[in-house]
Formats: sequence, structure tokens, C-alpha cells
Amino acid sequence: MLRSVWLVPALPLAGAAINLFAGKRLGRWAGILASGLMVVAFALALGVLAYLLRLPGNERLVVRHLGDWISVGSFRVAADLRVDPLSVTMMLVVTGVGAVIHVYSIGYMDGDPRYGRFFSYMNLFCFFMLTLVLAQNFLLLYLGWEGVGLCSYLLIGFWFERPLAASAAKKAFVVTRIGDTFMLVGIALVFLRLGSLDFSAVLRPSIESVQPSGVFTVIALLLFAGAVGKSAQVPLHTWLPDAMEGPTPVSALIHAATMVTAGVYLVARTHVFFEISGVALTVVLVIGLVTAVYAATCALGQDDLKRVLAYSTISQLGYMFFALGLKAYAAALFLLVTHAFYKALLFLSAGSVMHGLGGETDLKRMGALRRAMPFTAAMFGVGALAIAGVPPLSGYFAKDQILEVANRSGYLIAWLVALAGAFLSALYISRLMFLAFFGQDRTERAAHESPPVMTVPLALLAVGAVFGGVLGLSVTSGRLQGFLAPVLGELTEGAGGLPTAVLSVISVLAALAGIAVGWLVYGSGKVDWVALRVRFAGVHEFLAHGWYVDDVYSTSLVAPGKAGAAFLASAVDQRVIDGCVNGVGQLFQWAASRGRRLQTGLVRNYGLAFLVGVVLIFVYVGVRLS
Amino acid sequence: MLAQFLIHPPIQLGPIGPELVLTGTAIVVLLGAAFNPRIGHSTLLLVSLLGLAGAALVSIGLWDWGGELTVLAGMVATDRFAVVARLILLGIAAMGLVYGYHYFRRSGEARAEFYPLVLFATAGMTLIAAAADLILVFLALEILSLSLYVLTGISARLSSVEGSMKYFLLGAFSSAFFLYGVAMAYGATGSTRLSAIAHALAGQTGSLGLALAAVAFLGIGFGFKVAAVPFHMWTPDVYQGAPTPVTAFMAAGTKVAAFAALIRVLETSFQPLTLDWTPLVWTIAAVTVVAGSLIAIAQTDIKRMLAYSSIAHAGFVLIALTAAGQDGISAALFYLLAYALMVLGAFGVVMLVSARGEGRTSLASYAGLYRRSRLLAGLLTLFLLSLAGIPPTAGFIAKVNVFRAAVAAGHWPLVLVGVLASVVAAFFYIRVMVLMYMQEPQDDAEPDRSPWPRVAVAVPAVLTLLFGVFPGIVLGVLDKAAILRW
Repeated sequence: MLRSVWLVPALPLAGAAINLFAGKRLGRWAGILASGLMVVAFALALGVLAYLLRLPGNERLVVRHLGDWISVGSFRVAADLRVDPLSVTMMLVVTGVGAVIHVYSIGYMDGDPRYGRFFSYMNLFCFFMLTLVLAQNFLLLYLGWEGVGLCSYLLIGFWFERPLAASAAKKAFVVTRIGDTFMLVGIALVFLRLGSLDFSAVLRPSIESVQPSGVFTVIALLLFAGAVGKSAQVPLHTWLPDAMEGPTPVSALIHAATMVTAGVYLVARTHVFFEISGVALTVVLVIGLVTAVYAATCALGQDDLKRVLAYSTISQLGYMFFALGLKAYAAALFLLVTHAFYKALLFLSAGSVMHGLGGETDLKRMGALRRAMPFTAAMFGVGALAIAGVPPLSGYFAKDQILEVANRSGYLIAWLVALAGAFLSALYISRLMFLAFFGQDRTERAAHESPPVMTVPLALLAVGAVFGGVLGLSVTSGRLQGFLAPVLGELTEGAGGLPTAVLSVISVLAALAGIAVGWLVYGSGKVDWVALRVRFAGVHEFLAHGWYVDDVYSTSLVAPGKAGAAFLASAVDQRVIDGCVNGVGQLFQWAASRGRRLQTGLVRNYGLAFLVGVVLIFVYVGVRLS
Repeated sequence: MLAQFLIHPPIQLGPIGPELVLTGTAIVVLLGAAFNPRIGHSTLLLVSLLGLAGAALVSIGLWDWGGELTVLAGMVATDRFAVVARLILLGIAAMGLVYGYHYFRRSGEARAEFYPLVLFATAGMTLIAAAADLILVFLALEILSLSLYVLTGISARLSSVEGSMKYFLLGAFSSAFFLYGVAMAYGATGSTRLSAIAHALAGQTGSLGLALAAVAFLGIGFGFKVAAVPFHMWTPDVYQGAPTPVTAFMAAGTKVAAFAALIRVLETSFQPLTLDWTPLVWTIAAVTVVAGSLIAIAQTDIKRMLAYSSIAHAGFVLIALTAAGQDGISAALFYLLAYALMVLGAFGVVMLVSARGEGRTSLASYAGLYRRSRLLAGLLTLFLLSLAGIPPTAGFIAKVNVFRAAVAAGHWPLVLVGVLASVVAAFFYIRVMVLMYMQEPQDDAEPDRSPWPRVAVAVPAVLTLLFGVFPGIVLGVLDKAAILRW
């Protein structure tokens, strides 16, 4: 089974190639082909999982050598795939959720003029994402890392005729690039200081003795900078809300379930560095927590269906990093898996809404959609309850466990802030739910339910969102946690804190409180939320603009940068550099035309030139002799 | 008494086997054409090509020559350098014959003497590469020159005859210098044999002044042949005037042969004076690359442009010569090989674009060539890229090797000049590409679409790419050939 693990990334790559070159001719078959390949890849991934489960827990690591990639002097990088519980978990998420979203896209993208191209990019994305998670060394991981960034760019800007989509794609690429650059430096540092890029060689606790811990802090922080960019954490989060310009399946696959979680995967994979450093772990914790709460507040101010979900994703990713910072790696991964289900479900339901409303995403022009789209509304409700953390849905277990670890960690303030974030999460998602599906009908056109090719995937994801919790019922002894323990280590819970049962009650209460407030303001009809937003216009605007972070970046970084570039382009490049180049060119033209005149065509002149040469040579001979 | 006269040195004809085969074939072709005027030119071509192939086989047989270093009383060298130089020259001659067969048939100027003349010229070229005595160098030089004078004027066109006359006058002028140099060398050392001159100079028994004068005169003679500035003035007129196949043959063949001889003379006889002649070669190389690259910019005729380009390329080979020793010789050999391929290819395309005779050699005729013939435009692009020294072509590897050898010898300022000159040169090569791809055709003249000449032009293209991507397949052989034995 493990011999064919290379097929898991290779199948989508083949699909990408076929659809890129023959997508037009395949017509509708393009989507079926791409989806079919993803389903097969998922089946293979299940096979790999079954194989791995038969091995004893501490032997669940297989490295499949595909060949040498780079071999220059002492620098050797192999094309090796790493199969261990962590990579298999990620592989299953990518292929499983990926397959469902591919199928959904068959319906969602129907009629698009670049139908085949879309599936080509989607498959290509899956290939790179699988390369990322299966890589056995930093360079191969980086290949996947940049590849998913490329696909993200291509898919955000898939409808590049729209200026907003094109600029959002550019923004996503540039902003994540900032993190990527740090990450590349970090990888270079790994090679320089630790002597290898191979995970097995460097990701072991005994590596600590090789270098002072300061080196590990620098490496860990550089790698984390890459994670911050890719996973849209503060301060590099601004690209993700804009990235919603892409087709909704893209938002679901790339910007909710998989690519944005690559940062979480990276930190989990390299947690050895972070633990040696200690400081880096605290940085991860703080950034994660700040992002979780910050993005949750922003989500409250959004009127765009997808932007709410985008900020929600940022917030949820913040929770994952928060958990990583608490060394609860398995809890972070558990949230990653469950989040993949319910966030993909929410996005695809949102896509179904847009499909039914002809592309409408403004919450102000929705309402009461549960009548026209009952199934979509139910599915969205399942996702909303899951993200809000209502038991027994999957989101409850995942979030509750993180809060539990936070409470026991000794960072009481962190626990309180996280709890506030949980309340906010329940609030913004219920606001979304009530504004879109309940209350008065504010739609401008008749909505309709989506076709089965779109609703069946919703149901599949809903199953995951509801029952995903059974994978990891307990933070210490859950199945997923136990499965991941050989890679990520056992969680050592701090002593003290409140009993588990009390903590569960508190977190459920926080979720219910959020939902209750949401219902009161947006669902009950007793509060005029339109009047409320006018009255607190300042607050609303502040949240709607994401605390004006984007505007600060624009005025402090982007505008001066553009002005500088414009100056370099017009003054320096056109005048100085082009001037020099053209001047040199003209000089040579002039010299050439002068030189050409020597060529008179008369033999006597040629002979004269010849003789001049002879004389000069003999002058040299004379000088040499004397 | 009589027996004394009959004792003669042992005659070993093996090492001049290639020349014997070539001259023999030439005489057969000449007589055959003379006695049977109606003999088909395809037969003449075939016999000539067979002669070249035979000569090549004999040359290859000399690769593992186990006998003496020089034979025929020290006249002919038997080293691998001669073998490789001969093989390159025979290849050039074969291309020249195929081009000429096609060209003269289309232009209606078919003459049977073309074939023997090319063969005689080739014999002179291959002999000069093996010559181990200055007298033989001179003789071989005259054999090839006289044949080329006639070949240049073989067409009845005025420019052809004019070019031939100029070539002859200036060639005679330079031959006089060369001969004077031979005399000086004899005066300095008492011998014209390359090895004897070297021994005399190394033992400091000769006259240094005369020896230096000899280097200078011989250098002038060679400088004319390889078209180094300021002895290059004939090149544009002759290259433009000569029928294009002759130009291709001459541009590639003369340069390879003359450089082979120059390398041998400088690296054997005058090797003890290396420190004296290196500044001279250095200066001429610098002036040649700059002047050749510069004046080419102002040309409006592609044959003239390629002529100046060939002058600049002579400069690059001279740069390799400043790096004495095996490294420099190997770099020079590879450069000559690459140069021969791209110049044969470029003139081949020029011949096909011109279609019939010499009517369309102005750069304007190349506007929009891509629309007319993608194949010809593509081939010319490849050759121009190689001439400009851009990967993945042989021209790139050639320049890298030359520059590397020169830098290793400490001549980095010269390399700097060479690099800057190749930047200038890139301009006029790329300008032709711009014309071909980005401009509209100015007339509706059709290029030659005959299939076989296209195949012939594709041969150097394939090799240019092959040696550009996998230079290792010839570099090994050239390294072995880069050791002169004397």
C-alpha cells in the first residue's frame, strides 16, 4: 500500500495536466475527471491509513524514497515522502474534503467559460498541498508551500476580468510572500546551522545540543512568520477577507479547509524547534489568541456573507495557533480537522445561497431564506451550531478541549480571553444565521434550492461536522490525539484549574450566551438592528473595516511604496537608466558609423591600414628589444 | 658513390594520407569533368564527398599513430591536434560542397571546377594543420589561398571578380610578409623546422632580435588569414562578393586552418618567447573583438555583417591563444568547431533566403522571414544565438571556455573587453531576429524551399544545440588533441 503513496499527489497532478491541455474538449467531463481522481486519491489515503494503523504505535513512520531531487556538492535533497500519523491526517483532510468540494464544484462552476481550467487549478492545488504535507524535508515542503500559494493566486483571481478579483489575488500573493520570504530564510538557516533539511535528521529532541537555543528561537520565529502569512494571522491577515473574491469552492477548499491550515501543520511538524526555544512558543500563543479574538470582533461587523466566514476562519486559525502555543498540538490538529468539515460546510452552504440568489453575498439583501432553501438553511445551521460550540457537534469538542488546556496552563487571562472569543464566535455565526435565513425577506429576486450535485456534498460535510467529535472525545485520550501522539507527543496537562465538567459547562454557557444575544438582536425581531448600527456607526465602521488595519497598511506602507516605485520607474529608470542605455547605444552607433567609413572599398587604403598595423607591431618589437 | 645518393630518409606517407586522398580525388574529378564535359554534377559531388569521407577515415586512423612525432624529414606532425583539425576541416568542406552544388545549380552558374578547387583548398587547409616546418606551412597556405582566390571569383558577377582581385592582391601582400618571417626565423635559428627553432630559442643560441621579427612577420601573415584587425580589411568585400557557399566554406575553413597553424607555430617554435608575443596577441585580440563587433552594427547587408562578426570571432580565438598551454588550445579548438558550425549554418540560411544568386542579402530582405518560412527563421535564430554566445548553444560553451582559460592565465582585463564586445555584438544579432519576427515582409520574394539544402543546414543546427547542451561529448576528444607533440 505504501508503495503507491506517491499516487496520492500524482493523481491530482495528472488531472491538472489533462484538464490544462484538454479541459476545453472534455467539457463537462473535466469536473468529473478531476473529482474522480480526488475520490481515488482519498481511497488510497484511506488505504495508507489502514496500513499505518496495523503497525505498532511507535513504528508508524515510513519514508518513501522517490529519488534524488537536488545533489550539489554536500547539499543533497531527496524527493522523499513521509508517511506518519500527522501527514496521514493532513492527507485525509486534503483528499477527503477536497474530493467533496470538487464534486460540489461540478454544479457550482457549471456554465463557466473556463470550466476545465478551474478544475485544472483545483487539482494542481491538491497536488501541491499533498506535496506540502507529505514532504520529508524542508525544501520539498517549501515547494508545496509556494505551489499552493500560486494556486491560491490563480484561483482567487480566477475571474480576473473583475478588477476586485484580480487585485485580491495580487494582494494575497504579495502578503503571503512576506511570510514566505522569512520562512525561506528560516529554511536556509536550518541547513546552515543544523546541517540538513531532512525532517528525520533535524526534527528530533536531541538536536537541542547542536546549537544554542537562540538559534532555535530565530529559526522557529522565521518559520512561524511563514505560517503567519499562509494562515492569515495578525499582522499578515489582511489578504484573506479580500480572497473571498474567488469562486466559493475555492474559499472552502483553500481558504478554509486546507491551505490556510498549512501554517498550523508547519508549526506542529516543527514543534521541536518551538519547544527548544520556548520564546517562540509564547509568540505563537500570543499571536494566535490575539488573532482569534480580533478576527471574531471583525466578523461581527461584516455585511458580506463570505467575509464573515473569512474572518471566522482567521479567528478559528487563531485558536489553532493558540493551542499550539499551549503545546496542545493534537488539540490544534483536532480543531483543524473538525474546522475543515464545518467551515467547508459553511462555505459551501454560502455558495449554495449565492447560487440560489444569483451571486448575491450582501446580508442586507437576504433574510428568511429558510423558506426558499430549506436544505441549505439546515446545513448552514449544522455548521453554525458546530462552530458556535454547541454539544455534541464536533466544534464543541475541539474548542472545549483548547479552553480546557488553557485553563490548566496557568495563563488564566488567556483562558478568559479565549472564552470571550468563544462567545463572540457564537455571536457572529448566529448573527449570520439569523440575518440570512430568518427574519424578514429582503431579497431582490426569488431564491431557489441548489441541485443535488451541490446539496449531497453539503450533507456529507454535515455528517463530518456533526460526528467529527468522536475522533477526539477527550483531550488526553481521544482517538485522534492518541493516533498523533507518536509524532506530536503526549499532552502533559498542568495541575490545578477547574474540573473538566465545570469547564465544559462554562464553555457551553459561553456558546449559548452568544447564540442568545444573536437571537435577541438579529432573530427575535424585538431589536431594530438597523437602527442599532446607525446609532453605533463608529463601532460598526471600526469593525467592518477590520479595525482599519488595511487602511493603516495602505497609507503607511502601500502608498509610500507605490510612490517610491513610481519615482524609480519614471525618474530613475526612464531618465537615468534608460538614458544611460540609450546613450551607450547611440555612442556605439556613432562609433560604428565612423568605423565603417574606414572601409572605403579601395585596395590601396586596405594596404595602407595593413602597413600601419605592420609599423605598429614593429614599434612594439623595437620597444621589446631595447 | 652512387649508393650514397640513393640513400634517402624513410618515406612514410601515412601521415599525409588525408592530403593524398584529397588531391587524388581532386585530380580524378578534374580529369573526369575535363574528358567528359557532360558528366552530371551530382556524380562530381558524390565522388568529391567520397574523397572527403576517405580522407576522414584515413585521418581517424592517425588518431592512434604510434610512430615518430614528425615524418618526412620533420615536415609533417603526426599528433592528434592535426587529426582533430583535419576532421573539422573535412566536415566544413563537405558542407561547402553540398551548398555549392545546390547554389550553382539554381543560379545557373554551375561549373565543374568548383569541386576540385574546393578539394584542393581543403588539402591545403588540412596540410597546414599538420605542417611542422615553416616552409610547408607556407606551401600549404599558398595551396589554399590560390584555390580560394579562384573560388571567390568563380561567379561572373562584378562583385565576385572584384572580391577575388582584392583578396589576391592583399593576399600576395601578406604572403610576402609571411615568407619574410620564414627567412627571419631561419636567420635567427638556422632552421625552418618548428622543433629546431624551438630548441634553438630555448637554448638561447639564436638571435633574439631576428626571432622577434620573425614572430612579428609570421603573425602578420596569419593575422591576414584569420582576419585580425588591422589586417582584416579584405574580409567584408570578399565575403560579400564571393558566392555564398564559397563564403561559408572560406569563412569557416580558412579560419580553422590558419588558426591551427598559428597555434602550432606559436605554441611550439616560439613557445620560448611566449612572454614576448603574448602582449602582441593580447592587443590584437582586444582591438579585433572591439572593432569587429562595433563596425558590424553599421552594416546593412547580412553577408557583410557576418563578415565583421567573423572578424570579432577571430578576436575571441586570439583571446584563447593568450592563455597558453593545453587549456587555451582546447578552448580555441572548441571555439573553432562551434564557430565553424554556426557560420556554416548562418551562411547556409543566407543562401536559402537569397533563393537564387545573391539578390537578397540586404538586412531588409529578412523582415518578416518568420511569416515566409518558420524553419529558416528558426534555424537562423539558433545560429545567431550561438554567434552571440547565448545558451543552450555551442557558441555559449565556446565563449565560456575561452574566457575561463584566459582568466586562469590572468588575462581578466582582456576577458572584460571580450565580454563587453559580445554585449555590443548581441545587438546586431538580435536586431536580425527582431526583423524576422516582428516586422512585416517588405516584398513577396519566396525563400528557397528545396528540401535537401534545408536538411544540410539543419545539420550544423543540430550539432550547435548538441554541443551546447552536452559539450562533454567533444570536450574530452579536444582535450586529448590539445597536446602538441613535436
